[in-house]
Amino acid sequence: MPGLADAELRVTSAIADLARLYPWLDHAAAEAGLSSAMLNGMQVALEEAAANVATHAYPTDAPGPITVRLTRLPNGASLTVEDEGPPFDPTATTPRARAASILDAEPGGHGLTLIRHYCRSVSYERDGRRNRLTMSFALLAD
Amino acid sequence: MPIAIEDLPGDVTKLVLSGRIDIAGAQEIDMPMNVVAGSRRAVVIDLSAVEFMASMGLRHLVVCAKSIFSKRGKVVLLSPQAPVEEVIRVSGIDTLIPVHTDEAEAVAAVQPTPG
Repeated sequence: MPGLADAELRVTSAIADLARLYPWLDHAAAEAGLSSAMLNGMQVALEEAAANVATHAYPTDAPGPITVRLTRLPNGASLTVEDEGPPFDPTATTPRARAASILDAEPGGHGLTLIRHYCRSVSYERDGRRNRLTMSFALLAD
Repeated sequence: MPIAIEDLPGDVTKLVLSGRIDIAGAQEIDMPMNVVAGSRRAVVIDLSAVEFMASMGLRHLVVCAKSIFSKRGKVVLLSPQAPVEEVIRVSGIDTLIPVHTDEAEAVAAVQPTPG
């Protein structure tokens, strides 16, 4: 089903460029009429997805393109994150088991757990040379 | 800078984070948190002024706390706002680093046990 309102941003996986994701999402979500109650979860999920791309798709010293799209759906919204790195399906990874104590804890590994918590559904597809992660969010009222 | 360091009585350090600890914010706190992790033993990380944090920020909390706990020090988190508290709880960080809502209790929790 086509979205009711779309917005798209193209950035690179360079850290300074990824900072543009947040103001873009703030603006695009407001334009799409989404509630502020939805925004924190969407921002967390988008950061996790973008951090995954920055970690897995491209070398740190050679950032590559990321395309992010917000689509307003009748009963919610979706965020699509595309990159041109090697095939990588974050939904097929196993979230790291919780550490028994802080001394056993390894930093990181919470991205997919957080995405699944905030999203209604998450799906991955490989489209030609692109990885595409689609995260959908239920409509929340303020 | 979304980080300030305050020295409290009893060799307790209060690390006050603020604003958005997003991908860019996490980069800004990286160096100062490493300094605190390497030099302090009793640390209260005040999250009350943090508006946003996801796993890039959580990573710094875990690295800092692990370093201090490994040297027999203590770290607690203080008063995260609801959205940040949700991220901390979902990722299980609250089971690794105690979370307090009262500053006096947080300070007492990190002070070395006499004797």
